[in-house]
Amino acid sequence: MPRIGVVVCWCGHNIAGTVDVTQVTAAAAAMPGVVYAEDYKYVCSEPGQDLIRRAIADKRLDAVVVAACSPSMHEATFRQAAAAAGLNPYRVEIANVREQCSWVHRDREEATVKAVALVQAMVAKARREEPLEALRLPVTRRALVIGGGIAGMQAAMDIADAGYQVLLVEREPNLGGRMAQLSETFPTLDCASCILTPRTAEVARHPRIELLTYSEVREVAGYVGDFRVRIARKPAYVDWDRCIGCMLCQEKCPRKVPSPFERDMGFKKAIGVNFPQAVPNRPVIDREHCTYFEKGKCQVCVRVCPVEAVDFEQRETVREEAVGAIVVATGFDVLAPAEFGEYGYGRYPDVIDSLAFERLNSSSGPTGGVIRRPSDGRVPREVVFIQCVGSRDPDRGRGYCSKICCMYTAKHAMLYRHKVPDGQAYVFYMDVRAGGKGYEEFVQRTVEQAGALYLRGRVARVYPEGDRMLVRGVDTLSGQTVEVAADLVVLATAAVPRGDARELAQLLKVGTDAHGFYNEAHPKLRPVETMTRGIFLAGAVQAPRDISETVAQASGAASKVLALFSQEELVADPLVAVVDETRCAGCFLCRPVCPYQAISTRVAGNREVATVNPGLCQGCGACAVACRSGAMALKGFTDEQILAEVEALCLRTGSPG
Amino acid sequence: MSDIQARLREIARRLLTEGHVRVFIGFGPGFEANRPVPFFAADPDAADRLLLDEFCAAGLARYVLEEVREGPVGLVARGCDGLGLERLLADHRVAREQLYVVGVSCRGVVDPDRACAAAGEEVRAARVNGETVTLITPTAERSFPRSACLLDKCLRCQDPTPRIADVLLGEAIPPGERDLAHVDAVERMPSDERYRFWARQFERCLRCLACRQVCPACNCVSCSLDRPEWLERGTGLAEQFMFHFTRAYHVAGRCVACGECERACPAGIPLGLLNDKFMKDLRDLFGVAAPHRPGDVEPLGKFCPDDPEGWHEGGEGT
Ligand SMILES: Cc1cc2nc3c(=O)[nH]c(=O)nc-3n(C[C@H](O)[C@H](O)[C@H](O)COP(=O)(O)OP(=O)(O)OC[C@H]3O[C@@H](n4cnc5c(N)ncnc54)[C@H](O)[C@@H]3O)c2cc1C
Ligand code: SF4
Ligand code: SF4
Ligand code: SF4
Ligand code: SF4
Repeated sequence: MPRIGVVVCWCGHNIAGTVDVTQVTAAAAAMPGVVYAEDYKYVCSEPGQDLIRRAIADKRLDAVVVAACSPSMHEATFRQAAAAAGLNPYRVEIANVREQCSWVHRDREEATVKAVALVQAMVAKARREEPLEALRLPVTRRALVIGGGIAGMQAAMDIADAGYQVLLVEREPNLGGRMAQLSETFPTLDCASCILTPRTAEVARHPRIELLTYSEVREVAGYVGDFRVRIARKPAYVDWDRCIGCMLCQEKCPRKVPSPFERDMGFKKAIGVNFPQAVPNRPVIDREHCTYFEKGKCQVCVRVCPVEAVDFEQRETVREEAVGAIVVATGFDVLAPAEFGEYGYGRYPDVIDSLAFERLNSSSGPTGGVIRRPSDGRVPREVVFIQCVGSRDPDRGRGYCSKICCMYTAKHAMLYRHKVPDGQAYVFYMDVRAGGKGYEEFVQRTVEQAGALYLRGRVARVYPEGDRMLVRGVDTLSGQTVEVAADLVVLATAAVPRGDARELAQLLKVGTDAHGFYNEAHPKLRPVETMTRGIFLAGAVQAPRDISETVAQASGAASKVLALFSQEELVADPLVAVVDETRCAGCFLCRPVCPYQAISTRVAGNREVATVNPGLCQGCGACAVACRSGAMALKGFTDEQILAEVEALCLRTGSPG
Repeated sequence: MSDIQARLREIARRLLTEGHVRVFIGFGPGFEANRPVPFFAADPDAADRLLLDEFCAAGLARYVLEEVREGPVGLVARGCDGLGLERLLADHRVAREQLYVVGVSCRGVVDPDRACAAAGEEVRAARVNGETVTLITPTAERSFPRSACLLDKCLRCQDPTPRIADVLLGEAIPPGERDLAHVDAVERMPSDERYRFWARQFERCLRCLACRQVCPACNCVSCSLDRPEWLERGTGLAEQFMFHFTRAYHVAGRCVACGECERACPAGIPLGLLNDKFMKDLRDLFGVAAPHRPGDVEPLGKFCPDDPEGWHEGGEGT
């Protein structure tokens, strides 16, 4: 029988206050196989760990049970202590007598009886333990960054600057993300392209960043250190290697269509770039709107191109790449306000969303930076901004605050006043959230210097009267109905996940919240990690956030990738599932329950059996439960061990001491 | 039936002659006229001894599991046999190309004990016609209600015609709804009464494991009920509950309601009632078909990322 040592922790008053640790220690000493039992004030402290180390050496222990706090707290600590004394670290078991006992009981006697039972169960488990070896996985020191917005670019730069290769995959033909559409940025009012353009150029030039624009990730297999991804590049119908970026094609293309980049207020050609500073500066053909693709003739672009780069025969190409870590930076979208009929969006051209207002403000936008309303091009004298459109509205399914709208609306009101000094801005708001360095001061300036009139309340209706829009709402501070006649109405629509966010999350096996924003592993302590090891989050893909927060998080994600790449090999817990092939029926009932798709088929003799990829397996144990034959076992938690625990609890003779 | 029986023999003979199948499973004469037994025709001449009448009771699907190891198998299948085959196929225990299925529609199987009791004498033959059953004895020919003559499992049957058949003899009968009304009575019992009810049932169990051996859903290579760490050999009430709960949970969401377990049980334990209770709950909670259609998503057997109960730390909806 293995020689087992039991150490009972007081956790100061935390455990010892409710549990009689002396009695528990005495009871443990009498359990079969236990050759050493001791209690100590703080076992996790250095002297406490030393106690474990010495006991292992002096008493020649084969296994240690620590009766203390939850394993998620200090299991790693105690395993390290055991390993330092030469014991296999997986022969340490934790009896959780704090969270599961002292903290939830008041009665000292009851708590003590329960603590003894918990120790007894773990001693029974420890008796059936086998030494396990940590898994060692190789690392491919190359990162994939998905999304080329400010978040993805920052992460890519940080990783590449540290000396590693980066693949940056962006779905659009160009880098920049939402930021490319912005005019000036709060709280400093520096112009978005002035800070963005140098960055995009830097990324494009970087010797260690391979830029794959107009591309999408189609498949993700493998695991941390060794992901296999398939990346599809959509056909641009222009050979970008030949193209010299002269944009003659764009100039001469006869087909003009509304530009989504300009929120449909401006036009683009069927061939060309989204905006003049686009990086890479290479055109694509919009197949849906190209006359040649529609009618089979035109080809003006082919004729004007000086280098014969236009290629209508181009096809999608798919490549497979190996990477060791993935940063997801696919950003966010804004809610299509069509579902808010009361504001008349979509029906009246002078009701626009904030992103459109950014374009009106932008010197490269459809109005050259002069604020003109879409209907008749007049400069608006009165503008109403409505905040929280779709946000903080649990009735319509979005209870969350989009976080950025208060600030960019203040920015809009201020920029408007700069451009139209005799204009008046009204802001309907619920309350103004300006937490951030210099943010509150910024809003104050909007009120005091730009003279924006803030009205607290929800807008009930927007409707046209003459050539203006009447905005009717209730000022909840005065209780009075207010009506403003406006030339332009701007809706600060909710920040929402991208339409395909869930699909990508499924490819990556990353969880999403109720809305579709990606889940971090822990909201406070692991905000850039996901539950899948080796996959990290950066930017608005996780939750709405502004540029400075996005950049900070992107650097955080990059540092996690670098920490991973700095290791020779990755060490993983060996607590994974294994198949007993003689028992396995090959029914594969286990496969659909595995959240990590770790189970596949193997031919053993003349039949197929299940097999587990230990790199993918996260040791959740779902398969072991699904297998009716008992062919699937989770190492460290085998049926024998669990049943021994249950038996110890059931057959326990009762009173302590 | 005799026309269908003739065609069945003809097909079986052809399959065996041409070497399409190694064996053809059907029914053959038993010791008594009203108790035919499963019959394995291994050569063309044996096909002429195949028989198909209202007394052919045993489910044939489970025999396939053994037979198929030696080569392709042909068999005659009623609705319940068909579901059993579907179960084996969905569990990857047999491959479709190893089977040749001759489907027949079934209007119900006559229980010889019940029928003889109803008729008051030896029943030699029977005709099932809709709501009544005509029993033919040496002295008379009389009609009785279905419930007085048929096997329990047939009274609640929802699938008279198999869904997978390489050839179907006779007309197909469309599937119906499974009648789960008998579950209500147990559900209405107060819990202590319900406990006594099941204890009374389970304590009769002989642990012969016939229920497991006939069950197409119990098709594992190695059964955890044979392992002493899970189940001790004793027949004390605790072990009986452990055995029956484990059996029922291992087929929950996968039971095809063939009714074989209950038919095979020598102790007359209402295993079908327990299965039907699970089936009803699964239907009501997960909106799945009752019984489960093999190949459909298994309500208790799939990880789904948008599970309303959540998966990650933090629970609720995350
Ligand atoms: C109207 C408005 C005004 C704003 N004003 C300011 C401001 O003044 N100051 C400020 O700090 N913040 C402002 N913001 C917020 C700012 O836009 C965001 O903080 C920032 O864009 C977030 O960057 P990101 O990289 O996380 O996401 P995004 O900018 O959305 O970039 C994501 C990128 O990923 C790409 N992508 C998406 N899906 C895929 C996929 N499946 N495969 C490959 N690529 C994909 C997208 O094409 C995009 O290029 C404003 C936002 C709005 C809506
Ligand atoms: S559930 Fe069990 S028996 Fe079936 S394939 Fe998986 S390990 Fe094998
Ligand atoms: S333990 Fe969990 S992760 Fe590992 S193979 Fe089983 S179901 Fe998949
Ligand atoms: S549990 Fe009974 S009714 Fe269900 S499939 Fe098995 S034998 Fe048939
Ligand atoms: S067939 Fe009946 S007696 Fe035999 S093990 Fe099953 S339930 Fe018990």
